[in-house]
Amino acid sequence: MAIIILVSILIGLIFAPLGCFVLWKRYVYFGDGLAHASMLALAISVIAGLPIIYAGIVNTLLFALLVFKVKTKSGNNAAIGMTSSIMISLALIVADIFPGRFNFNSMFFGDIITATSEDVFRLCIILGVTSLFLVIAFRQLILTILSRDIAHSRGIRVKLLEFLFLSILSFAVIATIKIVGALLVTSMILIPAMIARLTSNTPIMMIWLAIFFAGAMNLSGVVLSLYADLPFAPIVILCGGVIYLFTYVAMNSFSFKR
Amino acid sequence: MIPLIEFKSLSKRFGNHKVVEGVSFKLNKGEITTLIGQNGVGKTTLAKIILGLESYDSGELIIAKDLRIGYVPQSLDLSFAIPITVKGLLEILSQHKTISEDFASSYFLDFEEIKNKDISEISGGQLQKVLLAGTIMSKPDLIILDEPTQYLDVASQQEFYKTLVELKNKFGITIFMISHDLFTVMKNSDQVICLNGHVCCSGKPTDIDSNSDFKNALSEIGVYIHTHDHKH
Repeated sequence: MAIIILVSILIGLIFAPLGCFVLWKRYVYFGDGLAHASMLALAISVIAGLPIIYAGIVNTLLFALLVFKVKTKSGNNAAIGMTSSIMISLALIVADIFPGRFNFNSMFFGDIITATSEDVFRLCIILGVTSLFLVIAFRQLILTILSRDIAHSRGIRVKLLEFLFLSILSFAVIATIKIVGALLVTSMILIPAMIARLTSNTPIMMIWLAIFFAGAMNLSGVVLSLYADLPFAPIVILCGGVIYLFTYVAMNSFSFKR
Repeated sequence: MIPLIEFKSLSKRFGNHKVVEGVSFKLNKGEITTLIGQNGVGKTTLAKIILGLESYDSGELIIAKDLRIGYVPQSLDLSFAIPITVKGLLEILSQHKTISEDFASSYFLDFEEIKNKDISEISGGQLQKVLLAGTIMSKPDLIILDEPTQYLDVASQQEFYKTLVELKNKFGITIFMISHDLFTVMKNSDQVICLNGHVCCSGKPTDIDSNSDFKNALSEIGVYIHTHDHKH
């Protein structure tokens, strides 16, 4: 029980700030594509006998490499769409060749009950790295979001910064996929940031509010999931949807808008 | 005149397409230099080469040691998902935790009115001024402006150019500007360079009476009818 609550809080703390940057930088499709493509990580894990986290690293590098190679002529979104589809197809073919060795159901939808102390440790490390990176690179990231050219003219190593951000996002996605599932992980990243956007007028305020909303979503999700015996990720998403709706109505009805 | 930047026979191609060829000119300290030319003749490419955003194929680019360059783009990669106020943007651009509101007020008569507004709520002209003010606050030696007046009405354009001249005179800032706006540019620049893949003509606007290339360039608004001893 303690592990489940701890994991849900850690996921919120990691995803909320990352979600703000994903929204600002328009990386929504990248996160979604990566989450779906991570099905191949499961296949790599089974075939190579690797722990899922290492298979996830291989998978992430493969995804990033393919996207950056394909995007030259077709643009980002098309490259992500094609790459994630190819990787899902590969995973499905491998599953067909090795029947009975894959549990795609848990990969798609996740299960917080499977969380272990090892997951807590892993999430703590990701939270530490994420926090450190965002604190150190906050201004550079914001400037890069506003204008890559201005950022470059100020000596910011834009590509390195974007690569580091996407790497951290990728590891966060891979590390949580068995808990929240590939289908819903992007929504868990985005919804707290989207709710926070309704009520914020500075980037820092939006990050703090996203953390607050992520906590509210995830804890209410855990409680409902445990007591009503319902799957964790879908319940969290529904809680997020309800909070978004209430916030939206409140902001519009009571003229709290900035 | 001390050159801060010097292009020496610089050429750049994208694949088989030659963008600029054998371009040579200098940006002198404390001067406003304006690059004019039609779309696609390599103006922005030259600015990006200075900023290190593009490489070049041949020639030489000499940049003064420890030169601090500020860049004001045509527009921001504006995402309405990011909540940022005018004051917040100035703080980010100036690289200071707090900004001098007096300084900002001296550049925008309506700073008090707009400082807490989200940048998505101000006009293109106001945003351009905010970008310029934020860049100035970062104390650069050289400011590169890429078509800074494209979102401004005629009155605001005049005001904008007046601000640039003031900046030059007050702080000695060197300005390199890309523009289509021939007549206003001529009035406010120390050096004008006409580009069409190569430097067609360059010089002081006051030389216009004696420069047939400039005369040709200005003979029709925005359309360069000029004669050379070579073909384009």
